[in-house]
Amino acid sequence: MLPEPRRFQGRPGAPGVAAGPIFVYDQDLPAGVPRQVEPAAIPDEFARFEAALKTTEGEILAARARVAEELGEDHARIFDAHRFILLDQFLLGQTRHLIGEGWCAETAYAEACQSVVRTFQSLDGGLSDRSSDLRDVERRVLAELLGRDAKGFGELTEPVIIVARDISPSDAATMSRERVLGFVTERGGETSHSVILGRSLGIPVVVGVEGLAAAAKSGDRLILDGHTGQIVLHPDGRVEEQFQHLRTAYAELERQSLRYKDYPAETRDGRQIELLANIELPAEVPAAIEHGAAGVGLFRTEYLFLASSEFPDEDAQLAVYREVLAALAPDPVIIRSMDLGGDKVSPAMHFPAEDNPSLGWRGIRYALDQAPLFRTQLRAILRAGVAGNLRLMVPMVSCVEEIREVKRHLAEVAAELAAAGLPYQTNYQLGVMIETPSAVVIAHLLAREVDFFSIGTNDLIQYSLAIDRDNDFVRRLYEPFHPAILRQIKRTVTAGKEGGCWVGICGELPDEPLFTILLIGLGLDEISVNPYRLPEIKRIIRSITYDQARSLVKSAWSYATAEEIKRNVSRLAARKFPELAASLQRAESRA
Amino acid sequence: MLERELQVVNAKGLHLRAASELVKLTSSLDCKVTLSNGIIEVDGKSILGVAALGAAKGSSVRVRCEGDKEAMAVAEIAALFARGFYEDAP
Repeated sequence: MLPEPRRFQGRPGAPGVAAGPIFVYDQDLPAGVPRQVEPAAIPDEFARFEAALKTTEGEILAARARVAEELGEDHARIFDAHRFILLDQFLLGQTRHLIGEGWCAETAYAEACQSVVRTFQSLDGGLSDRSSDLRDVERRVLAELLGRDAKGFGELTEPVIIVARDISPSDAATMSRERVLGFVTERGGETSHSVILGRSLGIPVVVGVEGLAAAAKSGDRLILDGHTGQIVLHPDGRVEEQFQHLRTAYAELERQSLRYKDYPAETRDGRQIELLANIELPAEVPAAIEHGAAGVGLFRTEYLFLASSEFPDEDAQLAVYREVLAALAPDPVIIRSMDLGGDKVSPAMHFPAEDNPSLGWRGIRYALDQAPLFRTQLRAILRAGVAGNLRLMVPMVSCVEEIREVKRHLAEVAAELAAAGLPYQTNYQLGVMIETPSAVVIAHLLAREVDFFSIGTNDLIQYSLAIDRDNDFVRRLYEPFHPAILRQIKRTVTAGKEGGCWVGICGELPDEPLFTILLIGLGLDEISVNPYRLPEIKRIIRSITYDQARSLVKSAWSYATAEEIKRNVSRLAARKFPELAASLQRAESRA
Repeated sequence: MLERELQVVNAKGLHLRAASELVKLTSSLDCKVTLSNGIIEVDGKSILGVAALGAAKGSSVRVRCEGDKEAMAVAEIAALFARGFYEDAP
């Protein structure tokens, strides 16, 4: 008998509808209960272990072949190391010894791995990368012994919907993206990494779904609607049909908004806005252009550093930056220097555990402390700059010293390149991301040092309101319309303009037309969003006048709460811009 | 038995991928291979052993080969160290 359809409700993360088999990604080691066997059963345990080794070796070789084909030989070589770990005589010797003493194969293998990890840790506290590769191999062998699936993201063989507790940036970097139809995560808010990734790849995401991972297993069929957060496990024919209709309707909506792609992003009274795209991978450039981006306003470079267990060298980075710059030339590309730390760490970083990662060693702080690594990136960026219209942006700045230090490195790196006779860009704009409250307060001082500001909304909101956006208890307090946030944007724009800087914004804008209207009214020169949102933002810009948007901002100053602003200013906006009335009302009724 | 002191010259040191190159070579050799960093001594055919040395750039590793074609073995291992374990290979 077919299982009954089961409905789950999550929160919408990224729009779209997907249907397909799921892949349950379990980050934990499969846990077996320590178990001893009768002496007579010991030969069976040996046989089970040898069989598991053989199967696992086959899996590793298959993963190697697939990654070599898709990502290149360089990425595939880590699987050679995994195979040597699997066949390591010390590890096998320990395991066989324990099996001989009467432990079951799972217990023996887990204990042998644990003893190696302990040795690593006793030798040097920072050897986490070795431990993490060992853990990966251990996970495969144990899953094999326990009869479970332990595939990693890198080796998906068919299109699947990923179900996981959470997706870390390094998980995201190693997954075969073309085989992911959608994400469902138990944790995470509207701005968590799975959501950002889903939006940039144009695939649907639903977050905050409880109980699904326990109720479903890999291979079960599932339908998800990223617009509403609805999920159906084991859909029947009727449900499938309903979702098929929905999918057609969404596709039509997308097609309609694409009509705006070739029109300029200009208000009815002639104010031009630079409307750019946020991207994470060179592969997203075509989508950005297709949706009408006039350049890239945020090229996140972290994936380069998170994708493998080693950092990319100068030439590897140069190739990636050059590809993006050349593809968009003469339109600008704002490359953000490495924003590592916080939740963006890889084993190669030997990153210490922190009590407070978001207040910790991240962004420009980490980069300046890792000067050789940072300078390698700066060299690659300056060299790539000759291929297009380069702008360079520095994340997480909280004081003037940091940007001065960056400028010192840039000058030194340029001198090195000149001495080596390598071509590099000398004519480029330098900017800071405004995402800490201190940067807002000293924006007029920062403006003397740089050419532009780009407000990073996610972190600015998180730091200003002291809200962890991934914490279920306080997420509802994460509020872009908070009077404090609107005032911080205002202050940044004023200070930037007085200091001769242009001011833009990048990050996840709320799905509410009013916010975009207020941004225009606040005087922003540039807006950068994920490619799929460009048509909608452009439609808003083209429906309004700068003059009236400014008067809406003025009226917003008189309200004391986000709710009052949304309710009252939406109503005013709907009267001024009838074309947008329907979508303004929809957003308001959702709120 | 033949011993030689070798320098780690590649930027990333004897990390997992370099260790993997080394083990690829040592497992094809007929002699016994032992590596030491002055503190611990490990089996040169065990990737976990080699990784446990934690040999960073600039450090030295003592390699000892015992058995068939040991002179050839030491020379090949030395050449791999000098080449930086193909770290910069495409």
